[in-house]
This record gives sequence, C-alpha cells and structure tokens, in this order.
Amino acid sequence: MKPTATRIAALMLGVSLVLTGGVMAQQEPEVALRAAMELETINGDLRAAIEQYQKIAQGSDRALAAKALIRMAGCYQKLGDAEAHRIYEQVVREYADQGEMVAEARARLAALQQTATVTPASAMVTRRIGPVDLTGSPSGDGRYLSTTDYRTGDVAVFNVATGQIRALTGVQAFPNESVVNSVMSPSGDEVAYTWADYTKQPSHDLRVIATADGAKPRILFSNDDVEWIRASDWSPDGRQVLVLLTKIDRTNQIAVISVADRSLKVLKTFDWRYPANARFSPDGQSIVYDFAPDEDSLARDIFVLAADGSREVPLVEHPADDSVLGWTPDGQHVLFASDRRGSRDAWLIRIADGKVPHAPELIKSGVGNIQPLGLTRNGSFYYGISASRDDVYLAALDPATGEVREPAKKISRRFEGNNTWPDWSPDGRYLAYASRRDGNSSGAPASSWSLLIHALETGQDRELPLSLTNLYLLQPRWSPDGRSLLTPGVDRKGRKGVYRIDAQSGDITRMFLADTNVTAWSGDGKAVFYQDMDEERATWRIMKRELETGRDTELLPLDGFLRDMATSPDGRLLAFCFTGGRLKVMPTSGGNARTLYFTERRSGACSIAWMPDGSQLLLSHGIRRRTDDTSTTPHSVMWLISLEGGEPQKVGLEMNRLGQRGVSIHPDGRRLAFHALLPQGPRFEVWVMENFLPELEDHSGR
Amino acid sequence: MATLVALALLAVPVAAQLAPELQRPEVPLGLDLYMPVPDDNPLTHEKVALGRRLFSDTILSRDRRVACVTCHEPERAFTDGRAVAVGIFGRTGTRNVPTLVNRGYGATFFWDGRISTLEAQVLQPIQDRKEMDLTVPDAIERLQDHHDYPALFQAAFGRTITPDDLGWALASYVRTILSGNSRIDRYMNGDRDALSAQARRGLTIFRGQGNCATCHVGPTLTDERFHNTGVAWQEGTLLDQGRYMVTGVEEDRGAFKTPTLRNVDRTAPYMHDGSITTLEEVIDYYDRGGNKNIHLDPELQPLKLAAEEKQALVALLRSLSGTIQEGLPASVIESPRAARHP
Repeated sequence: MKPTATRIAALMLGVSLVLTGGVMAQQEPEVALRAAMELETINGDLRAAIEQYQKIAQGSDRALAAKALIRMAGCYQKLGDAEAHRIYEQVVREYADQGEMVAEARARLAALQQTATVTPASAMVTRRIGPVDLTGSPSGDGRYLSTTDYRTGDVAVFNVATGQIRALTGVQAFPNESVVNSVMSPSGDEVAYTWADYTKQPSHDLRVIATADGAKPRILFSNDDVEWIRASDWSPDGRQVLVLLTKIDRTNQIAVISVADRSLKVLKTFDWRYPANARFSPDGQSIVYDFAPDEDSLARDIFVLAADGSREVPLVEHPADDSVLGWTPDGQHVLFASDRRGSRDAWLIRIADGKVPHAPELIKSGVGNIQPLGLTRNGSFYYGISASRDDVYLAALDPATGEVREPAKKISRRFEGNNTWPDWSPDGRYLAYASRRDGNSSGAPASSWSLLIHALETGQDRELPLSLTNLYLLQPRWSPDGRSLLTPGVDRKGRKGVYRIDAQSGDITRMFLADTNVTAWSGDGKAVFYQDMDEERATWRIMKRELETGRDTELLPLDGFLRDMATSPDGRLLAFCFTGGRLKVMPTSGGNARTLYFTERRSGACSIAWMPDGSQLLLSHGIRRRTDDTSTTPHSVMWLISLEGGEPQKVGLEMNRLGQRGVSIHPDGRRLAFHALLPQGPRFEVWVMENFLPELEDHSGR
Repeated sequence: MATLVALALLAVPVAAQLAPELQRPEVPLGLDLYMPVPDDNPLTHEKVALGRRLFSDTILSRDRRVACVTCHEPERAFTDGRAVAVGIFGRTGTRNVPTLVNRGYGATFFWDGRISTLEAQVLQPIQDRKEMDLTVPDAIERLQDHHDYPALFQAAFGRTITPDDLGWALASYVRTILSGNSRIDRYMNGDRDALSAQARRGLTIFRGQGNCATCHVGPTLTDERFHNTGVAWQEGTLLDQGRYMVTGVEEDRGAFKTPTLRNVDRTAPYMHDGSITTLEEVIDYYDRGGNKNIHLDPELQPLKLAAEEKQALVALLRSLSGTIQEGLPASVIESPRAARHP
C-alpha cells in the first residue's frame, strides 16, 4: 500500500473509532466544550466562555483540557488580555503529551510575538455598510467597494466612509448596456468587470479599468464562443483575473486571464452545472470554489483546485448545501455557508499544512442567503443581502376608459417577493404565475421555480414545481386551448429553448431549442413566434416556428431587442415592444410593422397585453430616473394605445413608482394582472462581519 | 459517510495534495489544465516511459503477436480502422476500438462503462480472451523473466513487479495521449479565421438544430454518459445490450457511452459496432432520428437537415482533428510500434 493510502486508511479507522466508543465515553466534557465554543463564537460572550473553558480545563481529560486552554487563551487574545500569552505557555509547559495542542500553542505564541502591535480584536460585530448593489467586491483595506452606478449602469467605486459612488468610465450605459459584476484588484488600483451590451453578440466581455480619475477601460477578454463571463477574483499578485465562463455549448469553466497579455488558461471544464464563488488563496497557489456534484440536486460542495490546474481535492463534502464565502487572510481557513443545521449558517474549516483538519466550526448562525463579496486584509467579511420584492398584483379596470377602479392587490401572501409573470387562461378562470423557490446566492444564473395556477373561483393556488431555471426567461403564456403554457426557459442541463408546461401535471416538454427570451402563441396554437439572433447579420429577428413540421420562417428583422410580444385576440396581428418602450404591430402572416408608440424618454423594460376586443393595447414601460435622483427604483408608466392611432391614454394605476411588468388582461377586460417591484426599502444592502476569525495571520501580502 | 470521505482525503495536507505533480504533460490548446490523476499514481518520467514501452510490446499477449498498439495505432488517432477489434489468432471482438486520445480526462471506460479507472481499464484487454488473452500473473511472470523490465519497474516503482504496477505504468502512459489544437480549438480561442464559413455553419447546427452538443460536449466532446441511439437495434432485435449488462437497469438497454469526436475523421468506422463507415452516413443516421426502439434516447428526433446543412456538419466534424501527442517530452523517442518477441 502506498503511503497516502495508508494514511487515509489509518485516518478512516481513527475516525470510525472516535465515532463509536470514544465519543460515548467523553460525551459530557465534549458537550460542555461545544457549549463554551458556542458562547464564544455565536453569542460573542467571551467572559462567560472563559469561565466555561476554565472548568473544562480542570477536568481529568488532558486532551480536552489542553483544547479548552487553547480556546480560553484565544478569548483572552480577543479581549487584548496578556493572560493569553501565559496560558499558551502553560500548554507548552504542562501538556507535552498533547502534541497537536502544544504545536498550536507554540504557533500562537509566535504569532503573538510577530503581531504584538496589532490592535486586539473584540467580539464579533456585524454592521450595515449601505444600500449598495451586490455586483462588486471590497478593496483589500475595506475602504472601497466596486459596484454599479445604478443611475447609469456604469462601473463605479463606493466609498464606504462617505457613502459616495464615483462612476469610473462616465458612460450612460442603460438601457442596453451595464456592468454585470466587478472585482477590485488587491491594491485597489484597478477594477476587473464584466460588461454587457445586449444589442451585440457576444453580449458580455471582461474589462479592466484603473480607479484613478480619467482612466480608460480596456477589454481583457471577448469571445463569441463565450455566452457569459464573470470576474470572480484577482490573483494576489494582481497579474491574473480569475473568471467563470459559460460557453455557447452550455459548459462552464474556471479559467484565469493574464492581465498583461490577455491570454486565457482554462483550468477545469464542467458540464451544464456551474462552479461559483471561486476565490484565490492568499498565497495565490490554490482556488476554492463550490459546485453541485450531484446532477439531481442543487446542494453544493466545496473544492480546492491548484491554481496551475495540477491537482484538486474536495474540501467540504456533505449532503447539505455548502458554498464558499472566502479565504481567511492567513490562508489557513475557508469560510463557508452551509444549511446542515437547518438554517443557513457561516462555518470555518481549517486547512492548515501538515494537520488533519478540524471539523468545521460554526461561526455565526442564521446568516441566511447572503452573497459573499469578499474578505479584506484584516479579515472583515463583506457580504450582501438581496431582498426579493417582485409580486403579482390584481387591479380592476374600466374597459371603457382604461381607468383603474381600485388599488391593486397582491394575488398571494405566500412566497411574497418571489412571484412574477402572471397570465390569464383563455377562459379567464385561472391566473398562472411563476414563483421562485430558493434564493440562490452564488451570483450565477439559476434558481428553482414553480408554476402557480390560481383559481379565480376558489382563490386557491395549485403549485407545479418546474425543472426549468432562469429568472429572466421564464414567462409562461397559456395556449389557446388552455391545456398548457408556453415559456422560454433553460432546463436543468442549461439548454435554452421553448418549453411547454402541461397545466394539469406540470410535465415539461421541450418544443424546440432556441436562444430566446420572448415567445407568443399563434392564434390557432399551431405555431410559436419568438425572438432570436440572426448570427450571420448579428441582429435580432422575429421567427415563426410551425410546430407540426418544425419549419422556421423569419417574420421580421429587428432593429432592437424585444422585451415582450403578444398575438391579437383574432390571431391576425403580432404586437411587440422593445427595450426603451417602443411598440410596433405587424400581421402574423408577415409584412411591414408599424410603430404605435415611441418615447424619447430614457426607458427600460416593457410589457404588453391586448384588450379583449383587439382594438387597443396596454403598454407598460419603465422610465429611468434623472442622474441626480438617488432612488433605486425606476418609474413605470402604463398606456392604453389604440390601433387606430391617437394619443396614448395613461392608465391611472396608483402604484406609479413601481416597475410593472408581465401585464395580462382578463378576457372580460375588467381585471388586470401584472407583477411589480415593491417600492419600500432598498433592494440590496451590503453588510460587514468583523472580529469573527480565531486568528489573523496575514500571509497574503495584499 | 460523505464527511468521512472528505476527512480522509484531507488526511493528506491540502497544500501537499496540491503540490505540483512530479511530471505533467504539456496540455494542448482546447483541453483543461486540470486532469484528474490518482493520488497513488502520480505521473513520473519513469512510469510513462515504461508504460509507453509496454504499450508497444507484444509480450503482453498470449501469442506474443499483439500489443496495445496493434489496435490503438497512433496514425489512426489510436484506433485500428476496423469495424471491430481483432485480437490474437485472428479472434474478433464485438465492438469497435475506441480512440485513446484524452482518456486521462475520462470518467468511465469501455463502450459500456464497466470500468471506472484507467488503472483498471488498461489491464482488461490483456486478459480478454479475444484480445490478448493473457492472465495478469502470466504477464507479470513474463516481465520478471525479461532482461530489461525488472530494472525498469524497479526504477519506476522501487520494487519488484506487481499487477498494480503494470496497470499504473500503462495508465500513466495513456494519460499522456492528448489531442487538441484543432481548428475548432483555435476558433474558440478567438481565431475567427480558423473555421471556414461552412464549418461555422456546421457549428451552429451542431449546437442547435442538430442537437449534437447535448452529448458531444466540453473539451473532450463527450459527456461520458450512456445513450441508446438505436444503433444496436437491428430488425427488431437488440444485438448488444450495452450499458444494461453493467447496471441491470432496463433503461440502459442498448445504451453506449458517447465517444469523443476529436479526430473523428481519422477514426472510421463509427459507432460501438463500427457499422457506419463514413461521417456522411453517420449524419444521415442521426438525421433519421436513429433506429426507433423502446429505450431510444428522447434526445434523438428526426433532424430534417437539408443537404447543405449535412455538408456543413461534415465540414465541422473534419475541423475537430488536431495535434496528437503522447508520452512526456523526455520519454518520447519515436511513435510507438508493436515490438514482437518471438
């Protein structure tokens, strides 16, 4: 047997023994130790923890006593009390038979001597940084966060002390462009960021810009074989950017890009499942990331990959969902989130050289679905909280005037903040809508969804879990016969297409593969209209797919990006609206399109629905705020627009500060359903967790 | 149990586990830098050179006339050009010889995936009655009696020859058989001129209407999974049960592992039984939606490709051939050839 195998076998045997007889004999002191650790780490009550550790240290179990003393000294250390030094020396002097603990004490004594000038830490603190979006990361000193300028879509830097945002390129990016995510270089002098231009293919590229005033960005990576790229981290020496790629063939990759020569090195390729939260270790030698190893489960495990691709080892393998939060500055631990206790908590696992790792240590319970932004040099952990605020509303309409008769009401109080894209069934008895079921915090484009069928008569919802993903694509539309719903979507294997959902069983069948975000049934249900990219001309177009023959026909080349389309009640006309709110209509048999509505105001997403008699269209579109308006929520307006022309008629919905989308009108013309963004409170918040690490040895050089 | 496994793996310090390998092949464009290599069989020059010599040596077959390289010819991208394998005394097998390129990235081995490690896989053909028909103990005995091998094994493993060592040496060599840097690799790396317009059209079909990329995916152009494409279904009979013989799962009847498409224009004939001789016929087969049978993979549907679309797909497939390298730089002298031992 090779040495490695021997060690593994020995460890397995050792672990087995501990799990059988050993633990039973030591249960009480072990439990006491755990309780004391919880006092220390979860409650932050260091004095009470010291008291408990002291009692355990007086017990007859020398191994536990030594461990308790180490913990007790750690508490004193956090309190800035020199007693820590004395206790570490005591362990070295009196517990020579506890080799591991003696080594630990020696290491801590050495660290104490090296960092004698470091300000002693106090108990763990979490504090709110501000309503900053979650697209960026902190600088090494924690003074800045890269972020998005929500007024323009530009890449920006947020000053933590002043709360000011400074845009870096000065471009007005919205509505067709924006920064997607960003990471600050270790020095804080540069920001690497993903830039999206949705009018182009490839729509995403990776750029770098200096944070100094007047700097110009440069494109680091652009490739039309890559559908999506996310800047994940900088190497500690600032020479490489760690990226996560999704390719056109749906595979995902961890790769590094040289800042100097822009060369790409692919470290590892995955199938349709994506790695997330990849981070360089402080010494730059390793990369930690999380990934769902079981294709039938969303639960993730944590892996450590050598930065040169030479090796990989699993770090956390557990049936629970485990995801990376970051490396500690000394490179000896990985902070991660896990739901193994039922709640989503923060844990720390030690991966120090030359030692069997300790079991993960609970750091903070109930952290929830936080999004990790990064750890600073002093071990402060920046993270974001995203509040889901989408809900489906019902409002009563006066079909004659288009006026809203009474305030809109939420369709459901369940899963509030997660309900979107309503659509009335052809007979008006049901309202279908999509509802998100988990809060993915990895920043990658996947979530779990259900389709809810709301019965108007009973007020009951029937839930159909979906095996489709992607927040931005799922827009169910009832078939003309009311038996199924059509939606663009992405299946679990990452295949973009047009899918049919059986309204009774929830079974999903793929109708055809297509990279599309907008679909509509033909009036007879025998064809589907959809938007796709003409790759030869690099322009968007409306296609018609005959479902029986599979034949595709180009209906109309487009000069913009569609957000919605809808077939008229008689099936003769197809209406469609673009980003920016422009509305056109054309015959479903083909031919020219005519513009029904156009605005020169800076507008966002749009949504349309036909009135039942086919004489008017309801159009909702967002209006971007002025750059000096600091609110994060856009205005939205709703218009009734006649096919015969004339002035658009404003719909008096008294929720005009919401972003209404997914509008759908009941067949009786008296009820309107839509989904909207809640106005109250910020959608994103950044927080920082401080003084939670057991030791702070900065080996990073950052 | 999962936690135990994690702890066991971490028994080796992470930093040590992530230390550079003793040797690593140079990875060509298009492949991942990370290739899984077992902790107990790291690559070394000695093992790769030994495995390379063994690969070409007929000493491992009963009649001393067949070597690994007999069926895995480098000039044919490590295949043999026959429909099915031919072993000692002209015995014929039932399945087509798969290419060995990029098998270091593989997760399962053989058409039915009955073996899960390269170390175990390389010993199978030696023992197969229709291939080399030699027991491992007999093979070890022959190697021990050889004038060179005992010393070579000693240098590679520091001990007398064991069955494990034979598998580890051969597996080490197979891990160095890599193919990349094809036209499509260069295209995907940003060289827009690397593919002709016709091949680019073929790529669009490959990923779209053709639905090929559902299975032929990633750097190795295989999902390493098993699919019933209907090839084994002939005139109402399933001629080969495929994956079912390994799993016993009904849905696996007639399912075979997705082969890599790298160098596909050098590896004819095609399919698990070598029953289709040209790329054009392969595309025609899939265009028909495969042979209908109860376990046919639902991903197989008639494609309704036009003639020019089929030609575009062929153009794409011909762009998947690239450089083939084998061995570590210091261990490569010349391409392996079967060396007979009378």
